[in-house]
This record gives sequence, structure tokens and C-alpha cells, in this order.
Amino acid sequence: MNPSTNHKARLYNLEKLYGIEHKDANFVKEVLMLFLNTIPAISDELVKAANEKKWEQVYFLAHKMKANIDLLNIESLKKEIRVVEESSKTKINLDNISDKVKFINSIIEQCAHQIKEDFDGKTFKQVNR
Amino acid sequence: MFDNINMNQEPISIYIVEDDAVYSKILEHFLSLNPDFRVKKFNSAKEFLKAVHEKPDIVTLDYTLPDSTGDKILSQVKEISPETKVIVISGQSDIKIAIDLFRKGAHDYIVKDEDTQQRLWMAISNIRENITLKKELATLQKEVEKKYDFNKVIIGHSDCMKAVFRLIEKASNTNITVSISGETGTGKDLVAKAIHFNSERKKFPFVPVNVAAIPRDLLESELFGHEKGSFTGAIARRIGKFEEANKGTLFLDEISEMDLAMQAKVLRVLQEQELSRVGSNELIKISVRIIVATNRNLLEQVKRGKFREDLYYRLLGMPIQMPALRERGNDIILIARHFIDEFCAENNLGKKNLDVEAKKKLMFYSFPGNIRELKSIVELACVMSDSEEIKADHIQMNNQNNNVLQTDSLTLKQYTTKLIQHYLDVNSYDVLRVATLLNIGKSTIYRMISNNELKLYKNTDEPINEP
Repeated sequence: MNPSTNHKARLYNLEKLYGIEHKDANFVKEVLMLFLNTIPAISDELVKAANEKKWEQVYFLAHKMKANIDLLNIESLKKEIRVVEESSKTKINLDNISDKVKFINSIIEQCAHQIKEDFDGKTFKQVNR
Repeated sequence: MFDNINMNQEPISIYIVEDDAVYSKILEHFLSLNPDFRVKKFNSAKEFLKAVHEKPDIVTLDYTLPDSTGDKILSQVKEISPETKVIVISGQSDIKIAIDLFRKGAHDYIVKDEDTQQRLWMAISNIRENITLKKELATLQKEVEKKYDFNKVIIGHSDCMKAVFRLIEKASNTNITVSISGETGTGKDLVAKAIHFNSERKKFPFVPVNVAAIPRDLLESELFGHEKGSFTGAIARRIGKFEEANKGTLFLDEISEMDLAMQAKVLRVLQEQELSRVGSNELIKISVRIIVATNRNLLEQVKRGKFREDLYYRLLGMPIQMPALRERGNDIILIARHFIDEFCAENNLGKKNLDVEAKKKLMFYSFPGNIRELKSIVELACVMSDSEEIKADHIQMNNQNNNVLQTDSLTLKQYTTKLIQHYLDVNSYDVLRVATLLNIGKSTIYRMISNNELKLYKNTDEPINEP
């Protein structure tokens, strides 16, 4: 679960996005911009809600992040986000949620960083396909 | 995925209700690839509910929104815009939620996963097909309503036809059983259709059955349907005309030709509003409006034991007597003009008009075949005429003997006898009716009958017993 172990590996890929629109690179960039503008902020809110033990809010935010994590194929978070979603919904195994959301937040942060790098280097398309 | 798009279809409005900006963008992009889709995005329930009065064709609704839940929004949509199809898109596969949503009227429930776009596409394609069919149906219904706008379709300004129009209007506004009587060719079927297509039942079938045209031993199966194997030749289950007309109108033409045993069965169905198919004990509830027609005097048939009295009163409902064409005065010319215009247009003959003598000839003819006969006479006249004018010579009556005013070689007494006999012939030998129509005493007619000056004959040429 330590993010530093995979620090240099790509945390996301755009296979699904290109599956939706295989020609339009602008569309893909637009979606990634939206991801950067919304998901890191939601992830921060998730940490805060978990710290405050607001489980309904945790459920709602985890639920929202799940589709985005799947869309960008962030493999390391697919299972984690579902555990957080389920635990906060059923209010079972709540003890580990705090650690898990911190992990999720850290991966999202790294992921956002990688996306920005890919944007700047204009090579994200080749790297991630 | 978009290969099958039919670019000629009408645009479909699709509203996306999704607070996830990324997902919303993807859906918008995906759906906007089809130029026929008019897509709008809403990121909250509040924002969407302000626009739902615009009655979009389709809504894709995220189940979990910050300011409401999918089921609440679904209920509100169904209240404001029942025709809108709602596809709920949820991040979780939850069978209980799905069932609840379907109960509340959701069209589909799609889980956000790798197949979401494809499933959404399929769902929208199905809805679109459905919407197109409904629009086509609505157009056709409007055309049919237009076709049976009785003020336009049934031509006539005579007082007796104005009375018929008033009755059609009254019958259309209720579910009352209607019994239409009148000579052959007076337009009884047109009246039945006009009542149905101007009534609340117009969205449901109008099923005509000509009782006289169906062999007696097949009539029961034809009306009530049958189960497979219920009789020789019943190779499959078949629903009957009553079931086919459920929620609509069943038009039983020539009802007087129904035999007594069948009449008893029909009476039972009308009383109970339920039937069982031949070969089955299962009772099937029906809601059918009945319109019957006959060219005979049903009451006379009752008196003669040919028609059940209880069924007669059950069917009588609102009686509409279709006047014979010869009783309609100037309507003859109006209808003739209509048929001439119609026939000339259909056959590229140019416009034709009746001259004065031709009009007179038509006005003096008795038309035993009524409107059907008039139509064939004027159509032939159109063909025979080489100019814009249709002259008397072009009007060729099918049966010159039916010209009741052909008086050249008759004495007054002969003429009177002939006239009364003609009225008896075309009024099903209904003495009371003929006496009323000719404004003479019924005893006069009976006296002439007993003197063998007049004859009462049924269709079978068997003399009718005098009352």
C-alpha cells in the first residue's frame, strides 16, 4: 500500500477514454482537465469527512470518485475505493477507513502530478495508450 | 456504434443530470456524436427540475446527486412529464434500488462500468424507436380523426341529416350503445366510424363485423375467439372480435341476420362484460362499446320471433335512423357534386358540372341503392360526358322502374299504388313508417293490401303475416 514503491510507474492509463473517442485528442485533454479540476478536491474532502467520521459524506464522495478511478484505470485504487464506499455505507470495518482514504488521496495526488507532466511534455497520448 | 443512425429521424432531446463533471462530459460528448440528439447538461437536481417542464424525450439521471436522490427526482419527472423516459445511471448495482426505480417508472437502470456507453446507446435506440412509432401513430390518429370528422365526411345540409349529426355528436360524447338503421347504402358504417373516431375510445380499435357475411357455424369463434384444438381446424389459439375491440368499438353490421342461439350468447357477453373463448372456461373481462346496424326493422323482427326482445332492448341504446337518399332533397346534388369532383380528380378528367336537366333527373329518381347507387351513376356520367358539362343523357339509372315519378302512362290511382308499394319495398314493409312518411292513414295501406293492390313481401318472397 505504500505509494512510494510505485512512484515512477504510470498510475493511470487512457485506454478507456480512447475507447470512447479514439480520434479526438482534444476531448481526452478536456476530460483530463476536468479530472484535475474536480477529483483531487473531492479526494481532499474525502479525507476530511473520514477524519470527522461523517460516514454518509464519505460514502457519497467515494461513490463519486469510483467512476473516475475506473475511467482512468487507476488500478491501485479500484479495490480501495470500493472498500471505503462499502464500509462507509454499511458502517462496518470503519477503523481502517482513515488509512485507506489517506492512501487514496496520495495516489490521486501523484496521478494528478503525472497527468500534468504528460500535458506539459505533450507526450501523454503515446505514453498512456 | 453509430453506423445504424438514421439521419432522417426527428431530433430527440436528451437531458443529462449528473454532478460528476467528468462523467457528465463523457456522456455529453458521446451522445452529441449523433447529430439528431439535442443534449443538455445539468449538474444538480434543482437545476434540472427547473427545466423538466420542457418535457425532454429522455433523461439520463445519476442516482446519487448532492441535493436529491434518483428515486425522488424520478417521481417528480413522472408527475410533470409522464412521457419522458428516464434512464437511471448508478455507481452501484443494487437490485432492490433497481426494482424500486422500475416500479416508479424508470425506463432502464444502468450501472457505471465499462459497458455503460454501449448499454446507454442500446437503451436510447430502443426509446427512440418507440418515440418514432408513437409519433407516427399520433400522426395517423390525427389523420383518421380528420378523415372521420363527420361534418366534413358525411355530406348533407338537409334537416334530417342535421338531426343525424346531432345524434352522432351526442353518441360520441358517451359510451351509449348505438343502433343504426336505414336502407342499404345510406352510410350506416360511416356513422359508426364517425362515432368511434370522435369518441374517447378513438385510440383503441374500431372492429367492424358483417354478421351476414360470416357462416353461422363460424360466427361464435369469430366473435369470441377459440382455443387451439377446440374444433376441427382450430390449429392455434385465436382471439375473437370482442377481444380485438377491447377498450374500443365493435360494430356489428346486419345484426338482424344473427341466429337466436348466437343472440343469447352475445346478450350474455353484453350483460356480464366478459366472455370465454370457444373451448375454454377462462373468463376474460372486456370493455367494448357496441354499435349495431341493420337495414331491417328490428322491432318487427322481434314481433316475428326472429330477434330476442331482451337483446333488442339491450342494443337499442341510442337509435339513429339513416334517411334514404330520396328523403334528403338537395343533399342528392351536394353528394353528386362531391363524387364528381372526387372521381374527376382521381382520373384527371378536369372539372365537370351537372346541368339543370341532369340535376332534375337525379332529384326525381328514387335511388333504391341510395348513396352507393348515386356514386356509381355519377361516376359513369363523368366517363360518358366529353365536355365540362354532364347532361341528363349522361345520367343512366340502373333501374328505370325505380323512378317513382315516371308518370307518363299511369293514372293517378296507379301512380298512388305504385308510390306506396315502392315505399313499402324500400322500408322493409314497415306499414307504420310508410304511413308516416307519406302522411296517409295506415288503415289506407292495410285496406289496399287486403284488396291485393299492395303486397307485403319479405326478402325470401314469403308473404308476411299481417298484424
